[in-house]
Amino acid sequence: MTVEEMLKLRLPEWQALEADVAWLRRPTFDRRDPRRILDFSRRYRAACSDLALATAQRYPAETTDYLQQLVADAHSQLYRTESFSLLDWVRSLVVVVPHRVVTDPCFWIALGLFWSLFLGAGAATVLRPSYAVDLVGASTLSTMEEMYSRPVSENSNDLQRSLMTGFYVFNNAGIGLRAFAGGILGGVGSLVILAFNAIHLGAVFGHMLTSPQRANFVEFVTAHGPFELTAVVLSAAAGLRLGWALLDTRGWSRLESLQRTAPEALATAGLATVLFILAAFIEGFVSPSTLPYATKAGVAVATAATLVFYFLLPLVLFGTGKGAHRHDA
Amino acid sequence: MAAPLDTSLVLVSPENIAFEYRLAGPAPRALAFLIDLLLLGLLALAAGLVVGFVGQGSLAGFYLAGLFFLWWGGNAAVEVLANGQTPGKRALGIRVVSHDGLSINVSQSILRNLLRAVDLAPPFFPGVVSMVVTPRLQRLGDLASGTIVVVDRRAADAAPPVVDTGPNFIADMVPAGFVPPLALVEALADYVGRRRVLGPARRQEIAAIAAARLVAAWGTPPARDDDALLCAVYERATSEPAR
Repeated sequence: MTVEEMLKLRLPEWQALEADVAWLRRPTFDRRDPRRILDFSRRYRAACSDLALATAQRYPAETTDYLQQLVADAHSQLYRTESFSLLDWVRSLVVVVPHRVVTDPCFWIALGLFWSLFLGAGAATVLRPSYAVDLVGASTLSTMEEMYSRPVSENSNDLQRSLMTGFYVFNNAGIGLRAFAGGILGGVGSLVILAFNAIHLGAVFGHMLTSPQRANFVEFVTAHGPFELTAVVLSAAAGLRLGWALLDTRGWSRLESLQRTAPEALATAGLATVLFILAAFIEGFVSPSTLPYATKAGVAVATAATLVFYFLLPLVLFGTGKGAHRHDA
Repeated sequence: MAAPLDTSLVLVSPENIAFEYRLAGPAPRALAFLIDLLLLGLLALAAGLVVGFVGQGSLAGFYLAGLFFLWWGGNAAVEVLANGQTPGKRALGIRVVSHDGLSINVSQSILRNLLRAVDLAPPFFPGVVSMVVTPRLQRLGDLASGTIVVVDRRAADAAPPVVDTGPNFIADMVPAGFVPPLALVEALADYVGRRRVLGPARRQEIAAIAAARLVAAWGTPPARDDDALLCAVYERATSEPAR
């Protein structure tokens, strides 16, 4: 059989395969047509052997190019993305992620660094008030003082609360994702963002706690504090995990190590984003509300207790055995 | 066969078929990104006008929260739903695929889009540097999520192949035991693939060079039709016994 005869014989099948690929590409293709899917996979295998023949027999470049594209198109339809399961993600977030986070040194490093810098900057500012000006600048401080010069529930209606909630999601969760992404630079980006925020917050806290606006400030920051500060730490921990994978490769190549670790780090960053969003709702609707301070403090205690329970329960159930859930997610 | 010095990538499928992807360079990718950015800006602007026009303050909160998800997750969502193509990528004819040639999954897409924050960070633009130094033109987000951006060539865009091996009345001129060397078959494949766009005189002119050598080697008299002679040799080399 000559090349010409071969092409004449096979071309209708190839064009049928093209049509199958176009059909599968449509997002709404009828999944219940098993016959067509069988035909598709049969035609795909036939096209594969046609391509092998065409390459081996030195068919004209036009023919092999066409078959290359056809096979590549069909291949990307046959081996499609695995279906996305929200349930699996939720299950991972409830069971796998907290255990992985508390058994990960990166989390404890980020936690320790954040709190030591936060408390250090706060203490330094309390001891010597001029530090606050050096660290965050006089204009920020005077803005803060003016913001908290009146009770936080004044001048705050539902409209503003919803606006501010949206703003906190946009701004704070965005900072968290940046802290995570910065981890790809060997963890340096995450550490810088974490340290900057810890020192900045510490200085502001130290300054405000020694200022006349102290009561209003404390009333505002109490309720959303536990979720928001934990979320900052988690974002940086996720970034550190990403960066650490480049340094300690556990026997893989650096690239392989990064790619194997990335989904785990991403899940931690996802948890941080969830916490940022929850914190934004508390910060938008509870913190500036007219609720008595006891209630706001109660929210803080409850959220802190939830976090402790969430992170420690899997530890109690599964122990500290590393790898118990390492590659489940 | 030596690998071409080119931005192409050969992948082997489970069917043991190797196929080639052409990698997309920084220029079409940057353009695709700008188009996506523009669309995102227009969408944000339109939504902002609606929120402003309705004048419901509580909508503004949803608007900002929506902007967060759109900014960080919009591209990822579109990439997953449209099999690796954002509108910008579609316009430039490029596509994200996993480095094993498969479609990207949700977490790969989210990760590579989150890491754009670092890839486009001034002053060093690590993603651009990374794209220049990595053999598969990957930015950091691609490296971490194991993805590549390739030129999206669709079989449907290519004309179905037509081979016209021409007249073979001359086939008996080719000696029975003649086995053409591989290099000759490759050259002839190029010739028969292209001869239908050449005029008769041009065909003869090109074919004469190779035909004269063949005839000299065989010790036979010159062919009346050099074009037909080459077609006959090609056919001899590539014919399959009928199935």
